[in-house]
Amino acid sequence: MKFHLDKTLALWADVEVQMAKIHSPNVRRKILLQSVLCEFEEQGLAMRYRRANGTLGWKATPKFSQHLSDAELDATDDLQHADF
Amino acid sequence: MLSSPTFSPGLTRFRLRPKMEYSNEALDEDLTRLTGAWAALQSSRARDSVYEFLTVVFDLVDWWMSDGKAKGRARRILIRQGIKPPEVTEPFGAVIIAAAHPTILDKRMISKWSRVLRYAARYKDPAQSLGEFVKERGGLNACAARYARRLGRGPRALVKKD
Repeated sequence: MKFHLDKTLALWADVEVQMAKIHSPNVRRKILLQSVLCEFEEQGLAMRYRRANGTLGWKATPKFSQHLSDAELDATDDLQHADF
Repeated sequence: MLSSPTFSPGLTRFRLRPKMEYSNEALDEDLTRLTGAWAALQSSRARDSVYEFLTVVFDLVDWWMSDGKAKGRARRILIRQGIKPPEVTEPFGAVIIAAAHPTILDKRMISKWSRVLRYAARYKDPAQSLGEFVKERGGLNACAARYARRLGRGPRALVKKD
């Protein structure tokens, strides 16, 4: 089964899959990815949806998007007040 | 000094899943999103805010339906909210009741919203938003009436797609 992820989720899921791969090098990427997606879903970061062609896809939740935009604002703020 | 140079969603735990499951924790997160949307509707005076709530309900049940497990999950969500599920569960109505819990909604309102969502599930293009779809067809009351005419019980029900 192929997973369809939106851009934001694909990026962060890939980061977590790479991390998981370090601890479970012999596990197939598909299993790692579905495990990461289920964890994201349980933490309210990812949600499933029906795509235009009727198949299921995954996307970042509004909560996750909010986390990301807060983090971006924090980073911008840190940069502006950084003492280099 | 930079306090947080990188951001990670930071999975608090990780375990391998040989199957793509939809756990109670995932269901609870969806329920949290639903109750949040209900609270937003309650605190909003904007005319279109009902569509935002109904969109959250619709999107959830829509993927449950395409997964072929809408009725079972609707029963589960009622049980998670401490509500005894009825013998025959209509998924959209059940999710609306669970979202609004402990507020007791008027039966006719639940029925109307549920008919609108069932009508949208049958005829809406997935690329179109629920709000646009309903407004194009004259609003919630008109959509509920269309459902009754085309898909509801009774002699006037048609099976033809519009």
